[in-house]
Amino acid sequence: MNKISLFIIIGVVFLGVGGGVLYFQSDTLKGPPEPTGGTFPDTESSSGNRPSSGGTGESTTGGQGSGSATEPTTGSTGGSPTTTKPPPPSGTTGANPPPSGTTGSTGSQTTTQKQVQEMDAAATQYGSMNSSVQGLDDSTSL
Amino acid sequence: MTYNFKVHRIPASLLFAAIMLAGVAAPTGAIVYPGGGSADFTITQQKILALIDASVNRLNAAETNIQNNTQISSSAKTTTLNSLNSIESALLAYRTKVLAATTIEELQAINQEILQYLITNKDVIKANAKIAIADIAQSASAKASEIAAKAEQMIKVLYVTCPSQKSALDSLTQQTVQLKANAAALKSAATAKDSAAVKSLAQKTSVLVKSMVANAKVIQAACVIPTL
Repeated sequence: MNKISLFIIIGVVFLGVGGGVLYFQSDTLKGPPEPTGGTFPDTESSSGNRPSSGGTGESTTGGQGSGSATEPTTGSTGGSPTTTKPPPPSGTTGANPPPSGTTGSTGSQTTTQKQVQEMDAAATQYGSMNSSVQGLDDSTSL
Repeated sequence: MTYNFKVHRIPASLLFAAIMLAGVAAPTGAIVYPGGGSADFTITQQKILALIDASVNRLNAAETNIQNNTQISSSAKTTTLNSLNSIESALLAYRTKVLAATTIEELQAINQEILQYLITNKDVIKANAKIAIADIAQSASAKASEIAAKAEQMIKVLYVTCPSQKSALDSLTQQTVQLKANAAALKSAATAKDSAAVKSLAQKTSVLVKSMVANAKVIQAACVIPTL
């Protein structure tokens, strides 16, 4: 084997190794492929009952799930591209989700405020009943 | 002849006796009025009419009181007003008879009928007032239970979202327990038509409910979290 052949062989090996490295690096740099944006499980989409706090999904709509099948494009940090998208981070499912842009605690606060108002209104009605009872005379004879 | 009694206050039995005395035949030489009447006849007639009018006025006052009360159910209102109106109609019929009477004997007979009728129905206003009171008390009991349920719901949430107010929430819980007991007692008193117990419980419950609402407002204000 002459020098030229040896040079060619070394060159081919070098290029092969280098190309492999570059290919590997390019995959590494790209990171894991983005989620495929698969559909929610049926239970998710049908309930439409999204976490009140929005969890950590960082969706562009402030964590408010609309119940549609569209996934937040930047919401997930994990998940294999070959598997279905995991459900959004679990969160409390308050009975009354707060309005968009507010936190879960504010939602319960609003609920409490409403309950106090309802108590107040009912108490007023009770007061009228009490006044009516007190105003009736059951001691008068004919 | 002088009669010293007050139509509005004197017991019916005494009134009966008094009017019976008034019904004696006019003495010889008494003034004769046109139509065959006498001074005794006219006085007796007027006293009977006054007795009837006083009773009718009391009935009308009770009817107005019930009619204007917005808390009484329509069914209870109908029952009580019909009862009172039937008594009033009977008394007005007696009134017509008294006016039509021409002799002292007729007046005596009518007077006896009226007195017996009044004795028989003397408690009609009381009875119907009790019905009306019991009717409202049933609604008040339900309303008190409703308030207690709302308070329980709110307290349950606040124990989680506002643990810093635990002491106040504990007090409100005790008040809620008391309110539920009052509501049950009020319902029992209403069913028994125990007006005195109803009035007492209704008043105590009113005070309790006001206190609960005030406490709830304080707790709710203390738990305000700024909106993000």
